[in-house]
Amino acid sequence: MKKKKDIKSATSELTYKNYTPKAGDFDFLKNNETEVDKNYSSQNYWKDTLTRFFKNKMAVIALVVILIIVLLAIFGPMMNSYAYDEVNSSEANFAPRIPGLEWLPMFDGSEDVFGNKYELTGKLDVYYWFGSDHLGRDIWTRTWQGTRISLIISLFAVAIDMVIGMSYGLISGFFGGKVDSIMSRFEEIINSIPTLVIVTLLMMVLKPGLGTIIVALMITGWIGMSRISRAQMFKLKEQEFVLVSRTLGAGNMRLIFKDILPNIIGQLITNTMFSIPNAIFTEAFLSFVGLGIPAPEASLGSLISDAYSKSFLTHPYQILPPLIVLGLLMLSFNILADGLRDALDPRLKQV
Amino acid sequence: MTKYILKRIGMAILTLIVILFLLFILLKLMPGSPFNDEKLSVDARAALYAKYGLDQPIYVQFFKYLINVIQGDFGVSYNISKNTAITVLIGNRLWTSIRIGFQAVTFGAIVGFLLGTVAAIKHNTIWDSLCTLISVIGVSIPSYVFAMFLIYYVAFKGGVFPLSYSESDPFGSSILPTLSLSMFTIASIARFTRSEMLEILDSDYMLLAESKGMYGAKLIFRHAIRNTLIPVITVLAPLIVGLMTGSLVVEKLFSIPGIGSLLVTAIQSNDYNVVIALSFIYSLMYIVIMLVVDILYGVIDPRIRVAKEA
Repeated sequence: MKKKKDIKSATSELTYKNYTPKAGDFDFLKNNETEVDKNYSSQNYWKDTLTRFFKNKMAVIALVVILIIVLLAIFGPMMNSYAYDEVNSSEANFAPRIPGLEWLPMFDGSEDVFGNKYELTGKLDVYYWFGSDHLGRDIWTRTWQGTRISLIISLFAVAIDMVIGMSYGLISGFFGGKVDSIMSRFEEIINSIPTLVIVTLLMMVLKPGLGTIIVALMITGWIGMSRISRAQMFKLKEQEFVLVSRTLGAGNMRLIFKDILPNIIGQLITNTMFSIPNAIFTEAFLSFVGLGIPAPEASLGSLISDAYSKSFLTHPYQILPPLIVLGLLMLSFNILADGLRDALDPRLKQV
Repeated sequence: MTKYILKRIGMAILTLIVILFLLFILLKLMPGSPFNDEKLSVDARAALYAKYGLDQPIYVQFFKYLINVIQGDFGVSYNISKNTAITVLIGNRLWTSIRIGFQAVTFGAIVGFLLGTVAAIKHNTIWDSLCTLISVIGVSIPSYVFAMFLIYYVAFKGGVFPLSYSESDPFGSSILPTLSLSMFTIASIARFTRSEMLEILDSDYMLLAESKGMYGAKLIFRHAIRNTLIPVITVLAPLIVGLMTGSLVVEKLFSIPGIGSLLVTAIQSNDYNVVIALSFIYSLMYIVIMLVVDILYGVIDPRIRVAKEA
């Protein structure tokens, strides 16, 4: 058989035409001559995951919302002429007014009690898209500036989960025995101090700011992840394929990161996604308590806290943009994480 | 079982001492000293240090501190109200916080459990989707966002409940804070109950009970709900802990005189002694809750008990 003919014609040649074997028939096929079974071509895991993910409408919508927020966080502050820390006391507490959308009652620049300040002060060519705050700073610019902080923190949360949490759990699970029990005790002690307490104390020792929030996340954020990767490691490390790899001479690092990790990465990614809303919440919470990003820098939490203490009941439009962006971010990341979990591990979806 | 419980209690006490030590070291590392007054002469400062025992070696100070804490004495407040014993400062506040936390957990657990049960029984109907929607929103939106919406629309515009907490009407004015705190509990419990319940409804013993002629409410109450309750209890512990964090902000929003708002004030006015004492109290509550739930879990579920004894 030179160049794999289909079986039927080959057998018919043999039986009916008194086939005499030719010289090339018993040679090995070359690499480029092997045929791939087209009907049952192997499904790539990631391709499969993508297909499943895009079938989930809610998750796709969440992804789109996140992308829009990310784009606005990058380009939003550049879209008008205000700077985020530009104070203009003559234009304080202006209600939202957007050119072209002034026929909408929410964007016409008027307020229930105070009327239309743009008309009252005669500044008809001034526009604050989301209004201005008690110091006359543009809320649009500040909101997106603040969103940047939240997104930066979520990036760090992912990195912390992936680097510290994952390695800690995998190493602890892989080596087992004494290493594991020491590492687990350490983890237990950290875990039995409420995150709230750790973060508060840290903020008092270090200066409040983005760096400190990230350090706080580093101390507390990795524990959930390390537990999951440790449990997964326990499940997999006794399996045959690990033994085979070890017999072939693979070192520990290769076993952990090359052989076992790819098998559990799906679950770890899901867990990472869930830690993002947590990190965003931690920042917003800290800023609200007064331990977050110091003024005039803006973060979603500090914007909310500022607007709450200065103008919540008199000018409620000032608190809405950061509040809505924060809510949307948390909601979308949660839904996205849910969708990813279902896509990465369809077994979990049965219920 | 007794051995397991003793081991857990021992571990808890050890952890508490480690935490107290860490807190104490941090207290020493804090920038500045409580006596920052420029007018103080060197001698006067030394006298103050001696008065508060700050001139002794650190392990002696810690040992003294440890003994004081065991006796329930956390020292005095430096800034919030000068020289008041922290125990006095915390006193009633602790009970207000615990009461509101307890209300929120109870309400949240009951409503969440009902929601989850309904969603599981009416699986794949509009009720199910509604419950899922509520739980996703409840899990993702921080409690203080709910609190603000409630303050603005219910209290300020609607005028139904008071804007802030008042001692004269401790229950009526705690309804809004309770509601906003319990959202997260409702959502998580509903989510968890739903998935647990679905698994149980699908199990063999439910099929057996059904084939023996049990049906309807009796089947659900006798077999499904009882078995769902066990795992739900385990998630209560982390939820209570989550409530502590939420309470910090919610107490501030509704100006409730609780330990959460005290901690916020203490942080903002650098009253380290109060911060340390409250941090320790939070850790203590956290560890005790975890311990109780762990033991309770073993008592309720025979499978766990057997596994842990082995």
